[in-house]
Amino acid sequence: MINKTKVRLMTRTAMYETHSASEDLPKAKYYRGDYIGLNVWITAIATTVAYILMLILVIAVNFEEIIENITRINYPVIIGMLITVYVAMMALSLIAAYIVYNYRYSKAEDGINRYRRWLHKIFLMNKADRKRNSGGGTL
Amino acid sequence: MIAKLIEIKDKISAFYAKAGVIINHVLTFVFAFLSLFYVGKQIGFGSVLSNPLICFAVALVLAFLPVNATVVVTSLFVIINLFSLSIELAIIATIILLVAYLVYFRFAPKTGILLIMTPLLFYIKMPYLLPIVAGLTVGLSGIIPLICGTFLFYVINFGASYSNAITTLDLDNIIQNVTFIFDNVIKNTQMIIIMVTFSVTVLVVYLIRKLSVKYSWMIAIIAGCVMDAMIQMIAFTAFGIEFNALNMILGHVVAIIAGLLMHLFLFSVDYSATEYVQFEDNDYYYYVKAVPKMSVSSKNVTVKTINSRTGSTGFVHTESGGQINDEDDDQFDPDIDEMSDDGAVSDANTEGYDENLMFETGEFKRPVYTKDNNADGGR
Repeated sequence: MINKTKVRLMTRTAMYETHSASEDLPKAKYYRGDYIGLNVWITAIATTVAYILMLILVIAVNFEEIIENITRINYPVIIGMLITVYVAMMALSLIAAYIVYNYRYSKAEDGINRYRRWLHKIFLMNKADRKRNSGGGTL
Repeated sequence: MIAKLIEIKDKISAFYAKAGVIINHVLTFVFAFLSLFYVGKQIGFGSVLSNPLICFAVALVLAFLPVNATVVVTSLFVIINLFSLSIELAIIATIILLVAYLVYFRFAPKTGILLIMTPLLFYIKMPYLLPIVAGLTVGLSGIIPLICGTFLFYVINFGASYSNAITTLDLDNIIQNVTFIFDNVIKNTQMIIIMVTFSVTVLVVYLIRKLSVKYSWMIAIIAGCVMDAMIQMIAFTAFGIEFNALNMILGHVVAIIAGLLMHLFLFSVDYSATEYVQFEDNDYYYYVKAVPKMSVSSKNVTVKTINSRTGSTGFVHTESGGQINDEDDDQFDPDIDEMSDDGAVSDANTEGYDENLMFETGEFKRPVYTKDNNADGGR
């Protein structure tokens, strides 16, 4: 005889596995600190690459002006400005990355905890069924 | 009138509940095909990628992939078509899109669809709907995709309008070409004004929508469109850019109506599709179809059937739609976490069940329940 409650529970669990588990379970393989740290590092690399690309674009556009004034450019000021912009961009990106990935991990954690509770209930229901069957009782 | 609209809305959501999977694929296909076709038509210039059959075939494949695949493929189409037009323009577009992805779309990948919708809506002369849709759906995270999408539209428009000028540029003088493109694309005052007005409109729509007042969404749509029109008119006049005021006002009125209809039929309805799942336990294989519950309000029809054989004893049969009642509702606790274990088993007696999951060990294993009652990790 089919246990309707168990079927409902298993259906909800399967629906979670179909939709959210593919996003949540990979996160579950990391500790919170490791997950956030890894993604912050990736963000730092991505931000550096983006900064270099933007710098290339700006240099390409102002190339003629740069060549004309190459002997008159105040290099310490320009380099200081470039470093300041880079540091500011990096700081913003890393703070945003920390907040975003921390939030994503918390959301995944809620989903996974709910998933664990459902699996646990299914386990207990199966155990109860086996006990009843082995005891010879009817459902 | 309102009741009729609500009835139509209920019927649409009931129809989506039955055929949601197919509808999603069809909509993705239509969106992909329109995007690729638009790009090919504007900057294809007879290349292979602009062939409608190629667009159809690629869109057919994209219909079964996530929506972000359409965004990536359309961006690639744009860049490849631009390469055949002007290498410098293609490189500039590639760099801007790459920077946008590296800095922003890593955090909000689901807003990528706005990147492709923006040039499409510009093309069909309904761009003013964009900040309304973005403000009502994704909120402030829609600003960056709108800005990137507007930039993409102006790059494509520039490529289409100045194709002759670009292809005849001196290939040996790259710096001059880049400066020419930059002056006409990046320093385009009209583009910058539209980017700023869209950003402000998204902010206004989002903030008003969040207010705890009645009809905040309606006020947000109308206020957003009015503000968008006013800022654009003032800015265009101040910078001496020609524009057609009547077209602009009409465009915003259409955007208000479209926004109100979209909110009524799309954003205020919980569209849940039928789900098909399968799983097994020790005794059975289960193939489950989960249909979302909803009530469809319809007329109460009374049909009187007269059985001529038995005389004039009528049989009155009343048919009406209504709430689908689950006979087992009394036994089913809506909060599934509060459900009983359905057996006299205490939580302490969990022999064979590995409680050390996930966050304690850093590794999650889903137990498999076999006849031998062994919780083997993984599957």
